[in-house]
Amino acid sequence: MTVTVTSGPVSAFALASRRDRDASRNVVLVGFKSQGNLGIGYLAATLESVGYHVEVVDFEAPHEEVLATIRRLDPIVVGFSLIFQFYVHRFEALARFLRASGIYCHFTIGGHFPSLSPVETLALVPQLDSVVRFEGELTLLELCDRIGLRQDWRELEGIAYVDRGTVVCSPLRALLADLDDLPRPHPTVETRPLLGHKVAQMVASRGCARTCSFCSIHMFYRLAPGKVVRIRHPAEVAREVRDLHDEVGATVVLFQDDDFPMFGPAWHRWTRSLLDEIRKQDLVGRVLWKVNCRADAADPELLAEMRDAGLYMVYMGLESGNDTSLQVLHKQTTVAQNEAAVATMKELGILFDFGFMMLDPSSTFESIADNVAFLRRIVGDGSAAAEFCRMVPYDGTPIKDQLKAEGRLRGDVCNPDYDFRDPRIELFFRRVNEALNVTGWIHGLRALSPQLKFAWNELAMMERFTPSLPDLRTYRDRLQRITRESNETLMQVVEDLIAVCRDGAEQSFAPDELADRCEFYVDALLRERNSFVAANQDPLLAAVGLTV
Amino acid sequence: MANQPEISRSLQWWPWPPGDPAPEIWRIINELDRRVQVQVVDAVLNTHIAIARAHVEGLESIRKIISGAKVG
Repeated sequence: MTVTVTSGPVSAFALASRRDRDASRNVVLVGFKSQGNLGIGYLAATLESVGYHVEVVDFEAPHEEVLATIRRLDPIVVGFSLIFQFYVHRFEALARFLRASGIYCHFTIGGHFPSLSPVETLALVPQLDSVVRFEGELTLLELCDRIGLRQDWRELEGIAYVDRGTVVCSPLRALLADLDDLPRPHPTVETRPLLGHKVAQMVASRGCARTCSFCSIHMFYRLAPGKVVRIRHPAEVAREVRDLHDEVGATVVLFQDDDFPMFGPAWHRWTRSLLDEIRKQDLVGRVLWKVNCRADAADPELLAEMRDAGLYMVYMGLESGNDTSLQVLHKQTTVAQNEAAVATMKELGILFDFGFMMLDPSSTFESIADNVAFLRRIVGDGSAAAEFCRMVPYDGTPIKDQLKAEGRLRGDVCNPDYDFRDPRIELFFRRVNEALNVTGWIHGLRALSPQLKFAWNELAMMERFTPSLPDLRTYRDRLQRITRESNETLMQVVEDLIAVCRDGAEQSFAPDELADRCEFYVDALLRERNSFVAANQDPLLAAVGLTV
Repeated sequence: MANQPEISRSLQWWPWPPGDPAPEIWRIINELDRRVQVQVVDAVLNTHIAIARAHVEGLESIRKIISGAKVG
């Protein structure tokens, strides 16, 4: 929102900055700090920019530790950042503990689930005074200002609260028109390094123009007034990358945009402007970066230019290898586009990662077989580790509403679930889950597929920053062979369980044997990786400015 | 095989998901893993409880037989 005054247009943030306030009080934000948290980083930076002292507390810290910080700071507001609805009960437990320990300041909460389901959130976490809905920087700031000045905060735009047993939702606040008005996010936590390279995260845009039925992102941005997709100025983005490089020492930047702006002519122009700015800032060869995009945005010419300016990886939400499933998911892409996008990445030598839902509400054994065949086509060569999940019906998504209307929605807010049309698919899901969870193939950071993915990231670092390492090609071949064999075993397990659940066939693999196979691949991976890294320590350390 | 201690601390194997746009999803996955583990623990405990109950029932039936037996 911009308001015109005599001196010219003034942004909503600039207006908010000029407001009367008593910024002598503290604010505590509680959220996940693992792997960084840009959302909380932006909130903290906004408050700090007008003088508030903000401390960010890790949600996973012991309750006593959170309590000690809050007692020490005596804040006017404690803000909880609930990223996923699965954790709502754990937030309630913390809030209950804090209240029982004598913390009576204002408790508020933000995030996708609280924004889209404020009534449920306030019922599940009755200790809350308010919910900050949707983009929260300006609302949280105004909330703190009003509470600090002992003014009525219930008139604020963009909040929800309980009034005499009824949830009141105030009018929604407009989305920020210009993201560059905001101060840069406060670094809540340092991201883990990647083969010694410092990694930073940032965004070049917010919002997604698409309407996938399973995703809450577009609902989050679409309900509030204002433009859904906001893109930063290319020069500002490149300047932030440069500062992250110079001030933090980051040589890897992960763009965590909902959908990096590279679809269609207008966004091609924007991306090319960004590449110009990256070159102007002399970042080529100094910083590698990663983006998230859709398969239909994988333009070979543009991607080649991006690669030459430092793009090393692209994460794509491919989601399915079956066109009916893609339609049900309202992905607005086709299997052919998914395959073409992967082929482009391989041809250009860009590492790719992908989101993939083996199961969705429309699943049949035929669609699952299509998915397996698709995964074989794209990663059967071992170019990336196969991974998949089951679609989860998040609150606020069209598919959840559809499942509810069809009487297929099951579970609760923390464990949303649904019935498949063919009950044998549920059995199949359980069997796949048991087989792969027990062996540690897919789920968890120490599982095989995620470890393979990390090894591919490390390899990309080596190929870009230290391409002359001896035997680098051999190491790539070995990593690809392990990945290929792991993927094939995974596909065989899925196919085997299709035959078991659909045709009543005997299971051909023993769980112990599968666990042994998984352990074998993990051992092989770590043996190859550690041998290669140990043999090349000097140049690898030199590449990050260190010595043995 | 090269062991981790032979490798400089900066280069040691410490995997995390750089590709995933929502690293927090791994927290959920871990959480779900824990739920599976809880189910397994629950099943194991149920088995143990069933065994213990059967054992108690067996002992009680022996006591019943013994208490009904006439001495002498």
